[in-house]
This record gives sequence, C-alpha cells and structure tokens, in this order.
Amino acid sequence: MAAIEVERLTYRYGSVTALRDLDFTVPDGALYALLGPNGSGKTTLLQILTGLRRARSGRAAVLGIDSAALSWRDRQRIGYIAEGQSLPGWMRLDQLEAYLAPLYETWDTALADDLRARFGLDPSRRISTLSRGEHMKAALLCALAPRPRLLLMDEPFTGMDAVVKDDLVRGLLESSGEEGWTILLCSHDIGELELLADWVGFLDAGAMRVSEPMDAFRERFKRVDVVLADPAYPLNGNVPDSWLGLERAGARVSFVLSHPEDGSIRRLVSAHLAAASRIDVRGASLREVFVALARGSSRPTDEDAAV
Amino acid sequence: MRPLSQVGHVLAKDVRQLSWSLLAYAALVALATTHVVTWPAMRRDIFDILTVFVVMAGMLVVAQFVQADSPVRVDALWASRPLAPWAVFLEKFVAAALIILALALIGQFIGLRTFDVPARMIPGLLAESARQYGLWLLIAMVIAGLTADLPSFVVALVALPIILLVVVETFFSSFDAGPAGSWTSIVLGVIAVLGGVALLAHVYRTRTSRRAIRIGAFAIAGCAFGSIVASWSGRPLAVEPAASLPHPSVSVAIAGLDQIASLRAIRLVVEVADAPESTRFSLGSPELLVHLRDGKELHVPALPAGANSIGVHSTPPGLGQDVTWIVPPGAPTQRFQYYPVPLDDAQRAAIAVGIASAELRGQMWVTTSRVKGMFPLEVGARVAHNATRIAIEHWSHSDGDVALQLRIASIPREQPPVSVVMSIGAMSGQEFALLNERRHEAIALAQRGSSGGGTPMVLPGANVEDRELLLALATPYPAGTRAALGGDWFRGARLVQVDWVPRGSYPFRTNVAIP
Repeated sequence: MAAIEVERLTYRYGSVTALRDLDFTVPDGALYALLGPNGSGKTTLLQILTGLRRARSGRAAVLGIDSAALSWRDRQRIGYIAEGQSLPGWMRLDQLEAYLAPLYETWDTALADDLRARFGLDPSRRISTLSRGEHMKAALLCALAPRPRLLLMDEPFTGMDAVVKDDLVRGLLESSGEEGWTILLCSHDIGELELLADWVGFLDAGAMRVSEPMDAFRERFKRVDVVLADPAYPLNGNVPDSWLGLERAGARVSFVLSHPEDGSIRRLVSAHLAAASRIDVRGASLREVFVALARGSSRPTDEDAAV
Repeated sequence: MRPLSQVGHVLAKDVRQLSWSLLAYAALVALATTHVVTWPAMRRDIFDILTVFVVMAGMLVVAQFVQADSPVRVDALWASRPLAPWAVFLEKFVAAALIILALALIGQFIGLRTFDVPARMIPGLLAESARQYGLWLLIAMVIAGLTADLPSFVVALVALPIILLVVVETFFSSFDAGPAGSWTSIVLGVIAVLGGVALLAHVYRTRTSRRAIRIGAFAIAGCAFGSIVASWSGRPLAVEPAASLPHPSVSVAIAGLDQIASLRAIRLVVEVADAPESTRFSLGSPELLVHLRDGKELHVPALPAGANSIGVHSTPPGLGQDVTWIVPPGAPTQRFQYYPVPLDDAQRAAIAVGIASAELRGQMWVTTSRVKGMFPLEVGARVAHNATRIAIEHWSHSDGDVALQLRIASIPREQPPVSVVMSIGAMSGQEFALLNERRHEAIALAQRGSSGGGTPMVLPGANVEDRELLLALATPYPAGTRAALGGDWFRGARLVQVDWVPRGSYPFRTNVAIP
C-alpha cells in the first residue's frame, strides 16, 4: 500500500491555482524529498495531506484514508512539522511534551528524552525564548516522539547548525529504516535531501514535474558539459527544449538532460552542436537537476557567448 | 485519549495559558460584585460602567479561549494533532459557560441576594442575565473563530455594530421592536444560538472560513445584537383583563362655557363615585368629541398643557387599618376634578355656534398601590428588603417640616412598556411616607429633587434603579396641630415605600353634560 496517493489534485487560492491536476505516489517506508522553488505549492500540498486544507477537486489519501476525512485517531499515526511551526510560546518544553504525550497512544518518552538531549534542549525553557533553530528542534521532537507511521516535514532544517542537522539526518535515516516510517520532506537544503531521500519529487508551479526513486533519478538525469571549438557558435535554433538549465560561458555550454545512456547523449549533442569539440557526461546532482528544472527550458542569448 | 477526556485536557491547558486573563477577569467581577454588595459606599459615577467592563472583558477572554486553538489558522497546533475537532469546539463552550459566564453569574447572584430579591424572582433574573451575557459571549466566540488574532478580533468587533447599524438604517428603517419586543428577542436569540453553535461546529470541523461562512457569522451576530437590544424594551407588564378592573362611576360636565374666550380653554368637571381605596384612575389619550348645533363635529384632545393623561381620581395608599394621614399625599378629597382643555381660535369659533352634545373618551388606566417595604428611620441605616435597598443619608425635622435625603436602589419586578409609562405618567411609580404604627398615623412625603438612574448590576439583565432622593412633606402640615409632630412622633416612625403599579386599562367613553 502506498503511504500517500494523490490523484488529479487541484487547489486554488481565489483565482490563483496553487496545485494543478497533481498525481504522485509515495510508497510505504520511503523517504521522499519534495523539491520545488518558492511558491511551487509544496506547503499547500503538505497542508492538504494533513487535512488542514481541503482540495477543490481530486483526491489525496494518506495511509489509505482520504486526507479530508482524517479522524483524530488517524492523526495518531501522522506527524507534521509546518514551516515555522507555531508552538504555544507560553509553555515550557516539558509542559508542551506533557500536553501532547497523553494525546498519543504511541508517545515514546524515552525517545523524547533522547531527542531532547541530542538537540541540547532545556526542558525548563519557555518555547517563546527558544531561538529559531531550537524552536524547530522542539517541533521535530514533538513530531517524532509519537513514532508516527507517516512524517510530513516542511523545511524542518531551518535555522539548524550543521552538526545538529547531520545528527538529525542520521536519526531520520535510522528511524526510517528501522521503524519503517514513511517520510515526506520539503526542504531547500538539497545537499541534505540528497543524502536522505530514496525518492524524489519536483513540484513546479503547482505541477509535479518529476516523481521517482532516487536511483532512477540519478540514472536518468545527466549533466552535460560541452566545449565548443568556435566560441561564437550560435546556440539559437540548434538546442532542443529538452536540454534543461542551459548555461553558456564563452565556449563552454552546460545543461541537464534526461536520458538513460551516455553514448547516445554524445551522439545527440554532436548532432545539435556541430562545433562541439569536447563532450563530458556525468550523473547530475540533485542540486543541478533542481536548478535546471526550476529554470526549465529558458535559453541564454547568444550575447552570453561574449562572457 | 478519548474525545471527552480531550475536552478536560484542552481546558486545563487553556486555563493555564490564560491564567492571567482569567485572574484579571475574576478581579473585575469581584470588583463589580463588591460595588453592589457595599452599595452605596463606592462612587456611582465611577463604578456604574463596571458592567460594561465585565462584559467586554468576558468577550475578550472568550475570544482568547477560542483563538488559543483557532479553527481557521492553518498553523494552529491542535489541527495537526490527534484532537477531535468537536472536543476542541465543545471545550470552548464549556470554558465560556462554566468559567466566564458562571463566574459573573455568581457575582450577579450575590448582588441579587444583597437586594433581598425574593427567591422566586432570582432564577428568572439570573436566566435573563445569562441569556443577554451569553449572547454577547456567543458574538465574541463567532468573531474570534473567524479571526486569526486578538487585534483583528477587536477590529471586527468594533466594525460589526457600525456595519449592522448601517444595514438596519438602510434596509430596515421602520424597524421597531414595539410591543412584540419580547417575542422578537426570543426568536432572534434562538436563531443566534442555534446558528452560532452550528457555524462554530462547522468551522472547527472543516477549518474553512469562506465568504458564505463570514456572511453567516455576520447574520448571527446581527440576530444576537437584535435579541439583546429588543430585550431592553422591557418585559411586558402582566395586565389584568378589563373585566376584572374596577369601573367606578364617572360623570363629566362642561363648566364655564361663558368663560371660554377669557380662559382660552374649556373646563371639564369630573366627578367619580364608587372608586376603591388605594387606587388611581387616569385617562390616557383623552379626546373630547363635540357635536355642534350646526351638525358638525369637533375633536379636541382633552389634555391640559404639558400632560399626557388626565388624573381622574386618586386615593391615598392604604397603610393598614385605622391609619390616619396627618399629612395626606394630596388634596383631602379628589372626588371632583377641574381640567382646563386648551382651545385654539378655530375651536373657540366653532364652539361659539353652540354645543348640541359632547362625549369624553380615551383609555382608562388603573393603578393600585402596594407597600413595598418599611425601613427604620435612622441616618446611616442600610436596609435591603424585597428587591430594594435604602440608605438614609440625612434626615431632620423642624417647625413641623421634614427633610429626608436617601439613596434608594431597587430592581423593578416588571417594567411597564414605554407607551404605558407615557400614558399614565405620574400616576405610577414610587412614593414615600412616614408611618408611626403606635399612633396609627402617617405622613406623606413628596420628592423635592432626585438624581441618578438605571444601571445594570454585575451583568446586564437585572437593572437597578439607583436614585438619590430629597423628600419633604407632601402637603403643608396643619399649623394648629404642629405640636404633635415632634421628636417623639419620629422616634417610633418608619419609612414606607409605596409602589403604584399599573393593573390594566379599558376603553372609556361617557357623555358630557352641557350646562
């Protein structure tokens, strides 16, 4: 059973369409990295998945249940951290834990203690006095302590230092593997996601451009660097739209291409760029694909050749 | 944790979160209650607005309760936690009812007890206070449910009555609660409560505040406002059927027709027979219908200048068997009354033709007196009796005259509609007398000045008429018997409060004798 199933999901804020005919699936036990530029609809999607918003059309199911019909019992199995998660600032951390713990049958006090110690959080401090990073750690603690089957996280690393982030990433990886948690994670911290995720999705202007296992993703997207014999060789009219994130600096041209075989890529590039004197192909990093997809098929002008 | 347990769990959290607000609110209620209990020790002009503060503070605290787990904020913590929406929704109502409302009702109850309000009256008065205050709290809950924070709640709360006023003025300019005020109030109140509960339940369940929801909230707040405002028109007076009222024999004659030109008025002579004791009769909206000799009719409002009614007959209130009024409330006998009816030039010219016949008609109102309470005649004495508290601040007597200054606060049992008060004017209300039971003698007092007015108690719904009165002898004390009115007479005397209560009315019509 898929942990998350989304079919033809559409959501509008007035006349603005935030999500458009969205289709994707997150398998049970996956650690799914959801990428997308600002305003692409990631937060709205997570809010729909947690039942905080109701879609106008389409269907979103989490753990086999329509997200709009999630009951309080179902929420026992779902952890959620919103971007800039609001926590009651007047409470001390230990009071917040004491408030939330009875709500969950699966609240793990030992895990909460462990996370608190690992995050270096003082239980007697008021939430309102925590720094931004500490605030997110507290939110993470509250989301993880119930040992949810599905964890939805929107920018959970915001404000965290590298050591804690690394610690948390390792913790999430362990938990995901050992406990069989499904994690859907939105973050701008692509480097961390590349370490964590075994599935990746790319949301752009409310549409899912990519949603596949990380292995297939790495296999499919290639970074191509071309050196042109003639630095003034014109690109306009020679480059197909499928070459994503095309960049040019003088004689050097680089782009990302979705293609399975390195050999056929060289032939393809040579066919379009007759002036190519050298073609390097390697697996694209998540960041390179993210940037390329975000820029889409926009083309540098030939004036860029002068750079 | 089961949803019912969640109600208590969230309530405990909210109480801890809002402990300072609750303490401030409790202090305000305690201050308002103390103001009532220690009456008249605290200055009235400062503390009269305490009720307004109590209501406003209650609305703010209730709004804080709702927004502590906002149904519309998408980042509200509760919404993504295993909390049943209806449990959170129910917790807000429990908090409003069991903490905010109940606390103020306890203060109101203590206040009513200090007025010695009869036990049978207390549930009704508390229910009315709970209804009115509950509607204010409901308005606050609905607005707070659809606003994200306290500042936007306050802005919406201030804007709402202004918008409502504009809407009512624009579309319902002829709106008048009128005599159907109590029914209007009940119907609007029921709509507001059912609508408010349904709307909040829906918003907590769906966490949406679409335009239709906001319009619904506006309509609900309007109904609640309407219900509160309509209830201020007063509880209807329990009037007796006309047949059970005393119908004395009233004969009317026109006197001094030859003096019309000089008096610029026609004089009516009214004679009443068979009128019971302790009763007053007044004719509201009196009209003199004159049939002229030339066949024409003349309708003349039969009202003396500046009056709303004709006081047809009045007898002193009964203070018990064998009590003699050594200073009566008015003229010794009122069997005959002379009323000048002003006439304008055209009316006088018409009457000059000659009167064939005439009749007087109007609505005869019957009021009877009842002794509301007797209080010791001591400076500084503060006595509560039968929903009234009296504090005598000063009294003196010399040369057969009496001067009495007192504060009196009372909770009216029933409130005659404005139209009745306008009709019978001075024939209703309260009067005072001094009674020496040992000597079976009474002295009528009349007001020489008064200040103050109506004010709510701790909560709206039970208005207190709080006045400072200056009283003196109603009529001059007969000079020849002045010796009887010495210190000895007053030592055994008590202050008596008499209420004149409208019993009902009947249409009145009688032929007027022409000389």
